[in-house]
Amino acid sequence: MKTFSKIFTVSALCSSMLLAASCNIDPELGANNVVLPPPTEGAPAAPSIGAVYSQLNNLVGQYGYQALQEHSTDELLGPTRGTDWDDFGTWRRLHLHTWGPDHNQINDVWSQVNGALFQTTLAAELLSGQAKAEGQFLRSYFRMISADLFGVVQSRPATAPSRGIPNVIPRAAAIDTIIAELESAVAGLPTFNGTNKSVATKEAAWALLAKCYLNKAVYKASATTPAGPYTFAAADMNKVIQYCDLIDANPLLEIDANYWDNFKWDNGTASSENIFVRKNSDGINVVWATNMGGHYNQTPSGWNGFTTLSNFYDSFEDGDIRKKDTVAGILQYNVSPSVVVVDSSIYFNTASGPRTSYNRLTGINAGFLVGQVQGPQSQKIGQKIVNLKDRSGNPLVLTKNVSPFFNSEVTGIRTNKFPLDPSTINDGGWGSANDFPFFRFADVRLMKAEAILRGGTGTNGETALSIVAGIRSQRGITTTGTMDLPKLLAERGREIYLEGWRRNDLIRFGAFNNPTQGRTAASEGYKVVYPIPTIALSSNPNLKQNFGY
Amino acid sequence: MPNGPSENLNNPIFGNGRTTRQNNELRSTLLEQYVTWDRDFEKHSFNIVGGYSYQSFQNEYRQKVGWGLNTPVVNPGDVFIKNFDNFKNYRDLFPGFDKNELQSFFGRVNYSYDNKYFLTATVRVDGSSRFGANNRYGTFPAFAAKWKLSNEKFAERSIAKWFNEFSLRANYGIIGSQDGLASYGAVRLGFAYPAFGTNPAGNAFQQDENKDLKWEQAATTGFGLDFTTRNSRLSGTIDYFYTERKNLLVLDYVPGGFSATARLFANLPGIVVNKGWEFSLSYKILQGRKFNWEVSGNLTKISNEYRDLPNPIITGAVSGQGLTGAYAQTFVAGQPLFTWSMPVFQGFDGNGNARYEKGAANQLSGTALPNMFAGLTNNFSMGNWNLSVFLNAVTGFKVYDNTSNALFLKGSLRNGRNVTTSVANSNENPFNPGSVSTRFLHNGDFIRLANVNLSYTFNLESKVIRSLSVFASGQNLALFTKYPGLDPEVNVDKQIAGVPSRGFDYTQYPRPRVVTVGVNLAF
Repeated sequence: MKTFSKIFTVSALCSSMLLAASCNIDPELGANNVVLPPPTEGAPAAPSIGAVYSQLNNLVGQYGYQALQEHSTDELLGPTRGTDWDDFGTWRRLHLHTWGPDHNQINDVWSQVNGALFQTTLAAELLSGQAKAEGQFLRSYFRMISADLFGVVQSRPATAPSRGIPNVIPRAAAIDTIIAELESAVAGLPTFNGTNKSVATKEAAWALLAKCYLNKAVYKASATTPAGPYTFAAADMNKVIQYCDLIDANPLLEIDANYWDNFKWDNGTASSENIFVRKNSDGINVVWATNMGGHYNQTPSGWNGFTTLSNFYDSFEDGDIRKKDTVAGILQYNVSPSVVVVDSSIYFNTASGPRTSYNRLTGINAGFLVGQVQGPQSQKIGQKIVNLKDRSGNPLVLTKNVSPFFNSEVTGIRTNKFPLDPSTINDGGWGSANDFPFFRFADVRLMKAEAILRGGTGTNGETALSIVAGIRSQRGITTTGTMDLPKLLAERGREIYLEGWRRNDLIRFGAFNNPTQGRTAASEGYKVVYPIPTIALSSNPNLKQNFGY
Repeated sequence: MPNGPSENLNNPIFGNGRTTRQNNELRSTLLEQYVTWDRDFEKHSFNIVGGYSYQSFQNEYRQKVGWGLNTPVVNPGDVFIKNFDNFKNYRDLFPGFDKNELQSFFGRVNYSYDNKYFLTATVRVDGSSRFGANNRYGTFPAFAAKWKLSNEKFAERSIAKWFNEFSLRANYGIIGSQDGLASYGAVRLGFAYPAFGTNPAGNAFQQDENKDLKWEQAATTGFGLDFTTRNSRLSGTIDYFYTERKNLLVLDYVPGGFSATARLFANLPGIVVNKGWEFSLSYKILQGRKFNWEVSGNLTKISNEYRDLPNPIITGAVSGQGLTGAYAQTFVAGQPLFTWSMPVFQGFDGNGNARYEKGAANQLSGTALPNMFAGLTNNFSMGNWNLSVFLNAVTGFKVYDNTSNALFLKGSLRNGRNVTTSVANSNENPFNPGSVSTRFLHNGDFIRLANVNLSYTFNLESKVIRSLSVFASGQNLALFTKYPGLDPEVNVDKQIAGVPSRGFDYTQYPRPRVVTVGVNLAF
């Protein structure tokens, strides 16, 4: 018996040793997971260009990129409300300009932008044809964002080994690289045709080029005096005008007769201004833009967070549809079956029949919300519009005054820039199909006006005043007097608020560090660039902390 | 006209209905083969083992979702669904697949001579599919030796006069670890996505590789002493240990964050040192005919330090309203693991708003790792009665009371949520935010009456019942601590990006107090 067991053990061992010799423990993957085959040893395979566009999703949302570009300005504030919205001081520090290199949103945006630079580099260097040109456009856009926020651009060839140390280009040099790459890529891009808004087009590249030339003087400033004063070269301004005119030449792009066509749920088809967008169907939504300020008792129920500031609100004239608009003329929709329609005068089911307004259905207007807020009874679209109450049962009357600290639930003016599709609101608005614009024609026109004011030569008989007046007349207000840079900055605020450009504008106009509501003292000039996150600094020896931090 | 919401997959309910069918197939394989060789030559004794083992773990996952009921639910009493096939729309969701494999070759030699010298040597080579292509295999040796001095001839007149046993021990060994490492943590990974909408199918780049990723290692050196006195009344062990842990597996930041994911699995530089002493003593204080009393105790003193870590790592996410992104713990060079880092709370000002030291800057505030563990057992027996009492104590650590941070603030009361009496009566301003601070960080030192057992055994002369005893026992009968929460012996997982946390108290179900009475009968 003992002999038998010994023989058995030995033979079993041999068989297992045989197995061991042939046993390969390389990782094994299943459906949809693929180990990307390297085309050459060590180099990654190119991703599809459609997947690379998804990097833009990180630029949309109340947290991160949009917050860095807006909360630090006179347009937006994240007030602490009792125990809510303190969030480790993340919003407050942006508005007070007291961020440091360990700020969570600065860290996250750095990672997102550099993740995008990695992915777009694969596309720009490994793809071919139009996809390559699109990759070059996307890389240039993210490089411009990195230069704008952090003062530097990291760069590493697509074929470099994993975990290779990136080169670091200061933005004074990076802006030339960005312009050169865009100007060479533009020939490979398609022309804007009204339906390819989510794809890099010639017009999108020209808009980005105009941005680059307009901001070139800012990026060329010495790293120790990043807040200027800046010297804008006439040649650069003429480049801005040249690219703005190229865009203007496309007959599909014009100032929309209805400002809100650019933002509301059908802006994918209705807008005649949106040049380059991220489509809702590509994985973004804009519920945050409504809910970040909307009160809990509004419809949809908001998060009762961010507000604008009263000085900014007061810079709008009455009658300016950008301030307040009912958004009339929309088709009426079917109601969810779970809602009993009480007030049928606002709500019935003929697609071709009479039209109603967004305000009639939701109780609120597009633009800003202040004073008594209205909404449908029971928080259901289709119900009668009533005066809302706050959580203590008092009338929900939003006040103009707000502070970064210690607020109640009713302080502060709320914003409603991306009106949600009323037919989706009873389900939370998540199905609302708003696209998010990165480049818009009105911005292009205002860039031309600014370039003229900064020493460029007007073309097509246009002056800064005539351009601005042309836009304002479509917004329901008249224009008198003369045009100058401070007036233009204010007009840019009113026209493109909450579109992610305010910080960039304030810096270029030398106004970013000025005291503003909620922050009584001027901030230090070095705050016009964000710090490099500590973790990035210590992981890449080529990075040096920005001046001042 | 867009489609009504009832046809939208993204619409959760609203007369739409939704069902999900999931299939999870878990398969694990274990194959182990070894040979043993046992032989004694006079005073030499050998035991040798050699072998091979293979393990695999596979998880395959499929999911299908259906939505849009054929017959919509209208009344509350309607039955939602009886049959998966009652939906208008179906879609297969992305399947999942995960597999990892381990194979090991191992050998061990046990040798002893004359019941005086004992030697053990082992070596194992472990390979895991989770590591980088260049470093899938690690070699882990271990040695241990013991010398029974009391069995030596020269000890007969000295040590052996006082001790039944007196031995010295020494050991050294390396242990490998792959804990926390994902199956595909080291490979370059892509994702093949199908066509959707107007977008064609394609490949996305998901994660870059780390070909050099290797086993985490812990090398331990130890020395020890075991003894039992001649009369067997006192026995004990004393141990010293020193462990260096290196190549820690962590989701580490890639250089400059320039990659598809900002973090990839890497072996962290630096060494975590764990060192300390362990004492264990047992003493029979009274040994009489009727009354016996035996005390045994153990004590561990431990210190921990992270050396040469280039960059601090944060962990310990704090939960609660208005606490998005908040954290409370850090790994930083020269400090123990799980060091607390937060603003130091100085009380409320005249308006009831919190004041913090140094402009609310984060300050290192102790660690969640205890530096002492102790246990004490007393056993009494008198006649047929037996009583044992076990106390344990842990000291030198701090606990973060996230429960209070999230729920027990004056502002919570204002928002209509109940709070504790002390919070309701405090002068905190209801608009004061519940920022993370030492306000919620407390010493966790405690002594626990962990176990008491009292029993009585009957003298029986029955042939039917062999033995009969009754007992009463209690667990967790008393807790002595200054910690204001329910129980400082708590550890709710608050990891950030896979970096583990320690010492968080957050709405944990409290440790029960258990009292048992019973009868033991044997036939």
